[in-house]
Amino acid sequence: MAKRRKKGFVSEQQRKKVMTELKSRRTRPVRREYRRDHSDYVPLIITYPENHTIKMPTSSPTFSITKLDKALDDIFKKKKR
Amino acid sequence: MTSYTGEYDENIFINCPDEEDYEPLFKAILFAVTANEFIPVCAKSKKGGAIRVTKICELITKCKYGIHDISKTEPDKDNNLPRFNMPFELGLFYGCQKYGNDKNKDFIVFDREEHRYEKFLSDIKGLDVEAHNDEPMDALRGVNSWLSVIRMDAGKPRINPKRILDDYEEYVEDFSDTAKIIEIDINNLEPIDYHIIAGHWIEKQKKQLEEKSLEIVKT
Repeated sequence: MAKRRKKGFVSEQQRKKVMTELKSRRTRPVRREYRRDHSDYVPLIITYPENHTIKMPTSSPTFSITKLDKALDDIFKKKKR
Repeated sequence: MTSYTGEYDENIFINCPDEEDYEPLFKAILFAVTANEFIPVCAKSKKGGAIRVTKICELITKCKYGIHDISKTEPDKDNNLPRFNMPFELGLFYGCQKYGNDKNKDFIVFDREEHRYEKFLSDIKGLDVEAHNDEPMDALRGVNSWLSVIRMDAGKPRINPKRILDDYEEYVEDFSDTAKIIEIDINNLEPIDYHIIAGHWIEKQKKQLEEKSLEIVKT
């Protein structure tokens, strides 16, 4: 009479078969048609929400706002270059 | 001690140390406030001769929100005594929330490390106390996430935190150049000046981001 195996245990032959199958799955190449084409994707620029408004006083106790505005314009122009 | 204020629910009372080494944290907190479309209201101004506590109470009643930093607990260099102004002003704000007309007044408290305040101000245990670790970016993150919730409660979209964090780094780089060009002494700026500079900087940045987005769409 064949020896009964404990539930959950497999023979060495079965184990080898499963391992070979798993190994072959790992090396199987990814099918090309499933790869996404990103060529028409537009990179996203995170901006501030619409209607974003900062309330500010129109004058400063320490400096001229016109001068600040011009200074920032120059700094941003430089960065753009 | 004149202060520029907006509507009650736009104003944030800023209760922070008035010291030179606190300037980077102060700048970060104010940047987060400005970027989230709020107005910082400070009693930090060096001008004016009104009785300080009276003026502080007036400012607190004008503000729905408050940011309190109780991290400076070290004794003063000149007289070797700690300063109690920040915990006192926090108490005034809390009292105003508790006994005033607006029970929905909201505030955030900062300390240097988590749970450190329990050793010197244990009465406030259970309040919203955040640790900024003396790092401007941590303070910025803390203020921004608190204000994001307030914005969403008011039905306004939250500003992407990455936008604010990236912008702050760029703003700090530009700040010293701006200060040089407009000939200001960084150590003698009024709190409202930070709001004006940050506000104008963000406006320019927004414009540039919009231009960039348009360019990308065109190409």
